[in-house]
Amino acid sequence: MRACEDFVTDLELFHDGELDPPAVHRLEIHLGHCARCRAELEGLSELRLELERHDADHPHPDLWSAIEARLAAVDAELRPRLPWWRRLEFGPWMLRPLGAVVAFGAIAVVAVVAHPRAPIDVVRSIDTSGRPVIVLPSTEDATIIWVMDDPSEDAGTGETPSGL
Amino acid sequence: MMAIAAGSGGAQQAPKPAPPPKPTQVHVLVVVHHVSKHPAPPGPVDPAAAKLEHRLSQDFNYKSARVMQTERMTLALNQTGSMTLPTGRLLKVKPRKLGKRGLLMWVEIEGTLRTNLRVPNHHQVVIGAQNYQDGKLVVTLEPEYELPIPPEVPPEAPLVPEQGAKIPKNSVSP
Repeated sequence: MRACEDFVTDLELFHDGELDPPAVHRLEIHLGHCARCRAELEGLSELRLELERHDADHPHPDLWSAIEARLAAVDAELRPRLPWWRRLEFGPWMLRPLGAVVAFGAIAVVAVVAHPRAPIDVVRSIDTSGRPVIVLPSTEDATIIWVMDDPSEDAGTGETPSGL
Repeated sequence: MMAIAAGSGGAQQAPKPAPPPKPTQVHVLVVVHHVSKHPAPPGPVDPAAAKLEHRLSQDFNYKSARVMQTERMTLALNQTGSMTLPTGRLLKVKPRKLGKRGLLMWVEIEGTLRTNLRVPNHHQVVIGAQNYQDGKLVVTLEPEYELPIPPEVPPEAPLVPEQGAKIPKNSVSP
């Protein structure tokens, strides 16, 4: 079931909160009597939730193992460089006030130095006709969409999730 | 009627009509790579392939990448650009709308995927699409665009008269 051609773009902009008020009014009237577009809008919301859920909770096992390996490597590299105060063991009683002070300092530093940006939300909808697909969370400069081909369609080079 | 003639005439030239807005065009750089789990043979490496190779080697097991096709599509909004991939399948790209958060773009790789994307300027979308030879075809798409400049508003006469200025009475005839 697909949305009406005239409203496909508006639905996505509406979903992102970027549709102009007159167009919102027009779309709301249309949604009142078009089940297909209502379904499309629900689909957009579900897709976003699904992507967020999978990104957060279920990274691909091989991808996760790669990330773990990289984290371990980074950790091993950084450990000798830790300043003395990071190596000290404090009890929870001391961590609370200290944490508050550190947090305040960290917030100030982040606000001044880091200029944090909003997360990028690139993939709005995707249809792979049932093929498994992985969408990696977008970085500042790239988004990766990986479609696994059906092994029966190729001649022996079939890709499986373990191919990642 | 005299007041109207005095107020609008002579000293101020009639504002020129705003030029018609240029049709919004976007450029989409499409590069088709072949990635393989085998290391690349020694020799010069295409910088575009090296960038992808680096990106994929971090999270995937592919060891090498080579560029097979490059095309810079210049498209108007709602115009579809297409190119044939080495697999014989068609890649279609249709920029649909420019928004604050990027270019809304529809992409289809025939028989593999259809997707709607919202891509910030110069953000690269990497699509691992179809098995090819001993590896996989990877299509990267990177839009480049300028946000349309709103048309210039012609200068208007000040709404509040300057101090000391005489306000003509009955300036509008019934």
